[in-house]
Amino acid sequence: MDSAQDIADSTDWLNTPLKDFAQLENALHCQICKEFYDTPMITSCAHTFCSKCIRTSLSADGKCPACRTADQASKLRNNWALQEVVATFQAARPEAISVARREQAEAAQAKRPGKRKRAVLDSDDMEEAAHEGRTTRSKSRRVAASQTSQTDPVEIDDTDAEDEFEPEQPDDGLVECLLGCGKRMMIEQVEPHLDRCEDEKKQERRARTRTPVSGLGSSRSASAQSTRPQDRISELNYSLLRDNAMRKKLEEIGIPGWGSKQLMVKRHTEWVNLWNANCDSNHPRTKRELLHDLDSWERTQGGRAPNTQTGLANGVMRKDFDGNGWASKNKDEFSRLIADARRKKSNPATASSPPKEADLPEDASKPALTGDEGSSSHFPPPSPPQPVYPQLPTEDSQPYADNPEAMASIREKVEAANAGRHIEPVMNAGFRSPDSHPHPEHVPFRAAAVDAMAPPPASLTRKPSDPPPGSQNPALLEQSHFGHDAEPASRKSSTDELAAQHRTSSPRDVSARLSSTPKKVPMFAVPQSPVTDFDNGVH
Amino acid sequence: MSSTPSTTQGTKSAGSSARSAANGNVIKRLQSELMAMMTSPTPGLSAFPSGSDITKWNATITGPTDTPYAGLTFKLTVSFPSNYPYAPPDVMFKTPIYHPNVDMAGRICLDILKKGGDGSEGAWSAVLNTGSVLLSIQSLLGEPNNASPLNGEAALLWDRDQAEYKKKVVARHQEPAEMDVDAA
Repeated sequence: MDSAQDIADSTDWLNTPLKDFAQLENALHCQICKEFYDTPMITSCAHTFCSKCIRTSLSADGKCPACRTADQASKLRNNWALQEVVATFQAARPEAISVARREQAEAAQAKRPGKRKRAVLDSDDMEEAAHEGRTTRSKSRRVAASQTSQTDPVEIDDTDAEDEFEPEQPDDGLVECLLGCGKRMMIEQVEPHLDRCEDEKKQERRARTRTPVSGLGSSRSASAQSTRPQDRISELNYSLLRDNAMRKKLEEIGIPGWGSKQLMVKRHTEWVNLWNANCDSNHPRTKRELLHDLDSWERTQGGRAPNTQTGLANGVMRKDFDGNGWASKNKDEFSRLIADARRKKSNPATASSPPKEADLPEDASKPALTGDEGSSSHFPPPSPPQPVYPQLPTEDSQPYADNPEAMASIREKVEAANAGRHIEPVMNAGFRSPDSHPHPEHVPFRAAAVDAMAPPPASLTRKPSDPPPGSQNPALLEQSHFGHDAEPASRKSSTDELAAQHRTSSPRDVSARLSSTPKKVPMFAVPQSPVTDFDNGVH
Repeated sequence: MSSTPSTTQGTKSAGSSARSAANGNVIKRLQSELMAMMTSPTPGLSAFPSGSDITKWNATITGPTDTPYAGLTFKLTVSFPSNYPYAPPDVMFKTPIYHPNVDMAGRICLDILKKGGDGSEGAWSAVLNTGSVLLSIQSLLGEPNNASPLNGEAALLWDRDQAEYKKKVVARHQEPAEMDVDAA
């Protein structure tokens, strides 16, 4: 009687002599919610699920989850026999599990030869317990059957808990309205109902909510009716209803009527499922409790749900994504982006780095170069002097594009390099001076060497998918072949040179750099050898 | 026995139970799926919540023998929507994989990963679970659906040259050992 009370799980049986009971218990679970069947309903394809589960599932896709046959919620029927089995099993379970555990403990304690005998004895006990449950159950069942009355066949577990529980239960042995209005009643009630049902149809189903479902309706007080929902409600023809009509409908049945029409439709569907599942149940709950359920639906999946999951990740990908709603909701953002893009297009150089001219007047003398440099993160260079490299990781050059000082410094150096001048890198305190070389074409190699040799910045190398060090050897060899010192440059100058490298690097360097900077796509760094997969892999 | 405590508790501590009921059904269902996967594991498959959020799982699949993927291990992420199991989980390959029905970003084209309903051909069903989804993906490795490829080249190559295909599979694959470190 310890943890078995807290969370019953089929795995409780696994280490006991009754381990096959795990299978049995699993067989009594609904396949949708994986819990014990709660008001099991049988579909037209003879599969069984909890009422709420199958109703929700059918309203999602209209098919039986087990065999994918099309089905309708109105065709569901209670599976009373299974409900009884589940209730009996649940009632017998605590005792059975404690017996099984005691047995297990004793078996573990002393492996006596008497074990087998005991097992037989205990399982007998248990069977007896189950049998007792069975007799009371079948007794009450018999009573229910003989009276065709409203005696609840399953009343063992919680008769005392539900004080307002009334034993009348109209669902046993009822027949459905022949006109197909979905209501169930006792056979004697069918004829009077048929007349009414016809009238009702003529009246455009207006009186539906007030019409007694069965003979009980007339005998029961109005207050009882209000606490114990009887009438199943049906989904509306949502496409025919306009927003306001829809809102009115929702408020008529007493559920919140705010939000977009799409949300109202979802809420109404949820409510219909809640309500009808409650009608199926042997222990109907009050409308207040149902509303509470609807409220928690609202918070998790409805209008007040956190938008993280359904917002971008799934929402945009879905086919029924509400594009108009999304567009109007984000109109401000969109128009701002459009305006930005227009501005950039009309004046790419100034748009991407506006403060540049002001900071560096001498740059204006070289418009081609600055234009190229300033917009490199957004546009390909107008006349690429290098072999084409498809996409450089733009994140790398991005920080400088937003930093006028860095941009200016880069531009200065590039300019100097092009002119063949020697440049002195700006240095942070504490860094050694890098050896400098007059020839601009050395720059990329040194940058690669710095990448490989210098104690690398954490942001670049601590990523999980960094290639093994061996993969950077080509760059190293290259470097020593050219006779450069692998002296670690200052951080500042190395970044400058990295930026410069973008302009003068060969494709090999590009791939080497790509493989060593897996910032955004840790597991998808482009492999080094098969880069050509898609281009010429088809031969 | 089981319904009695829940009703009394529900009235007593409605506030706290309501807050934790944020996808309470989803959490319950995922817990029992997890329990089932732990107690009866399928060889070659594993799945476990990646962090404190039980709706985000990491999973591994071992490539089936007698396929080009034999002996390779693939990591995936599984994230469950708030209306799970009425909508399918979102499954992505995190290990790079060369496969006709998986694109470069790891997205998988598989009918049971799409929601069904009127007009759409999705085959997700509420009785499926994480184990069955992973099993389907595992068998997709050995039996690609070349009729609707995401990676057209792989689809062509699968029919034309299995040896070359296998080479590409191995070239694309990266051992996910680093991801383990990441997760731990």
